Amino acid sequence: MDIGLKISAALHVVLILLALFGGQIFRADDTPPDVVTTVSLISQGELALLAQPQEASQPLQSPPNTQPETAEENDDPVLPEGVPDEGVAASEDNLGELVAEEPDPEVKPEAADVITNEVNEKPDPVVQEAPVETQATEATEGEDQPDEAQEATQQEATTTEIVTEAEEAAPTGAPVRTAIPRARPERPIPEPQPETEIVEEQPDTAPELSVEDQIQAEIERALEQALATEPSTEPAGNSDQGDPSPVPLTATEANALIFNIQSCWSLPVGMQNLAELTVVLGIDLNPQGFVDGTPSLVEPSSLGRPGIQQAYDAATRAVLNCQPYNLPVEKYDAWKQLEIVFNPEKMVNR
Amino acid sequence: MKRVLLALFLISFALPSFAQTRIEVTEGVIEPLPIAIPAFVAETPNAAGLAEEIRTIVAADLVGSGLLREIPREAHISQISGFEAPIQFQDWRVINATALVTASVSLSTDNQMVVKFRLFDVASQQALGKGLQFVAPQGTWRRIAHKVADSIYTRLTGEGPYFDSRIVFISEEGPKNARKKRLAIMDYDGANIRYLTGADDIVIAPRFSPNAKEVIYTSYETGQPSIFVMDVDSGSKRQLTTLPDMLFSPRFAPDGRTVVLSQSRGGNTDLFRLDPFTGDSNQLTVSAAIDTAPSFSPDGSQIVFESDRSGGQQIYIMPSTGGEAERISFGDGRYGTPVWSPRGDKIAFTKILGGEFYIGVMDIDGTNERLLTRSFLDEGPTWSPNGRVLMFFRETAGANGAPNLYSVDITGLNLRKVSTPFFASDPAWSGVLQ
Repeated sequence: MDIGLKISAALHVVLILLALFGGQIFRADDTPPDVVTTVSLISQGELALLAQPQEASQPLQSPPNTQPETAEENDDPVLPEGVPDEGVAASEDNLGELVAEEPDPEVKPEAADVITNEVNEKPDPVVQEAPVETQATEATEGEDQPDEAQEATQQEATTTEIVTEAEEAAPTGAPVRTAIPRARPERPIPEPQPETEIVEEQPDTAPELSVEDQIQAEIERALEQALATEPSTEPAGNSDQGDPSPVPLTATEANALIFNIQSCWSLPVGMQNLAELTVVLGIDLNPQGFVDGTPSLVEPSSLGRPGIQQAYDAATRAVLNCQPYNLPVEKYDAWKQLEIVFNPEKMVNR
Repeated sequence: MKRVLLALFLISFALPSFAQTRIEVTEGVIEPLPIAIPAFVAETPNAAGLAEEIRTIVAADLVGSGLLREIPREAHISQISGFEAPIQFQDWRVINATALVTASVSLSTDNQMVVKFRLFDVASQQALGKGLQFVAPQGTWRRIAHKVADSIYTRLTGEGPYFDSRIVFISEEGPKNARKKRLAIMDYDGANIRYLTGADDIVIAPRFSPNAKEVIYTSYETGQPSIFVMDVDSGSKRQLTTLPDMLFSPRFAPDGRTVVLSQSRGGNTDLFRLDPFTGDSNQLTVSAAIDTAPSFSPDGSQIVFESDRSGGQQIYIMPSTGGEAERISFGDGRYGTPVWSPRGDKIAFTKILGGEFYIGVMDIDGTNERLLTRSFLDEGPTWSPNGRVLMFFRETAGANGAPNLYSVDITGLNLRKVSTPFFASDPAWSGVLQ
């Protein structure tokens, strides 16, 4: 009886301690809490967000997977479509007077194809494009500066042919981009798994049940689960289920990785808001140290802010140009997924 | 008990770790991005020469910005055989190209030119932004080349465009003691130069109207300094006002509906606003000092100007409708010719200190002063339309000393001399042409 009581008391204490400090104990020491929320757990809201712009994200992820080598041209359209960010929008606005976009939402083709098709399809491209040109020129003249006779040099006109979609690019620009390269689909998909979730949620749920019942149930369940998955004592590798917490990189290894990447990171200094262009990239690495798929933009949530597109591009270039990464294979679990913060603040007055 | 402990022990292993290794990179390299610009494809036989000329201008613009570096064509492994031909990205990656430009040019029998181009990120093997196509008369090929370069520059750097723009300046010929000064206009890179006034006129301090179709300047042709406005295309000009006073330093407001200038009366110089259509004016500053060299903020709400009201020549900011002026320059030396950046975040100025001249920039509250150039005489900065580059004139010392135009990046890097047929001073940069 006494023993039972003691066990029960001990378990209560353990449970309370778990509830209070469990998060910190079982969490990797250097991981800030927001990382856990943003990276590991995907809320229904986020899932809904991800689901919304699915049309945009699909093409973005597919191109690299589909035909990496043979049909490079297939890659072209993908980025253009998915990159209606501010920077691009601005540059195209500047050319907007000269540019007429060819909307064909249905035909899936890439920008490259569109150009080809367009040029080929039109019986006489030159004649057909001339009207587009005058139209465009007139439009801008009318809007921007009601003006007298234009000099000949100002009568050029242009057409963008390249883009496939007849998108309302302006309004949808930023949000569409949000769905960009989320390169890690498997993890976030949330089917509420009680075993894993409970530990974090415990503070909320615990009081509702009889504590002893809960402890018993908990112990049984954990025992079953732990015994079922237990003894994978060999260090790293393909550990998709029940892997032990990965052996972290040492400070030296992490520093070597940082030095490596910064030697590849080139960002134009002198940008107006350089200090505000921090981006966080998420990358998946294969055991050989090569980047798998397209690096994803973890922060900020969209490319909408001026300069973020270029900051993301520069970070992506750094990550891709520096591969492969020579990291200890036995710690693969610690580096197979990395989040890299590119913070240009110190480069502002260079 | 043991079972319980074992359970707790195992629980700790069974709990999945959400650990995400996160590292932070705070240092990078500062170097121009390497870009490959292989030969533009001539889609019609008669476009071969034109394609090469356009390519040359595009490359010169991009390299001249200082933010990009062209990979020499001799180093290219692949060629671009056709605008739609597949790209061997590996060949471009091997030579360390960050970006790749592909383009084609065709020319119809009626001299209509079609220029198409695309920009690729070599590392990710993806197109950057949309490709573009320009259809224009052959005679505009230089402007089209600048527009192509502007598109590429903007996409790669995040900065606004500036290559398709013009400079108005004073062209100077002859010996120092008898120099003839003409008003001249040219493309930003020194091409297509045109003289707007004759050699007998004495003209100073030209500035563009907001749409770059007119130039406002000070001329002595009436015997005393007066303000004129000239239509750039037709060359026709008109005197803005017949006020009996000496008038200097005219500048258009960003909306083009107001001119602010200096009016010298009885040894005192103050700032005035002038309606360019009615000639009505009202006084903005009332001080016993010399207030001059005004420049509007991009939104037109404020004016920065120089004044010696505190004893030395310093920079002040005041509402563009008049009111209290606030001094923003407090460093050593004297400050003059302030110019508000089109971005709105900086003031460029000339600084005179220790017998030397400097071109510098500071925030609009006077902080973060940075000196970009230094010489015997550097003066008269003007901003590129994107607020990234400054042009100014530098005069050499001595009896044969003469002025020339230079440009410099706001980082202080990439100082370049702008080629002009004669000596040149007092440049003013237009906005991006429409």
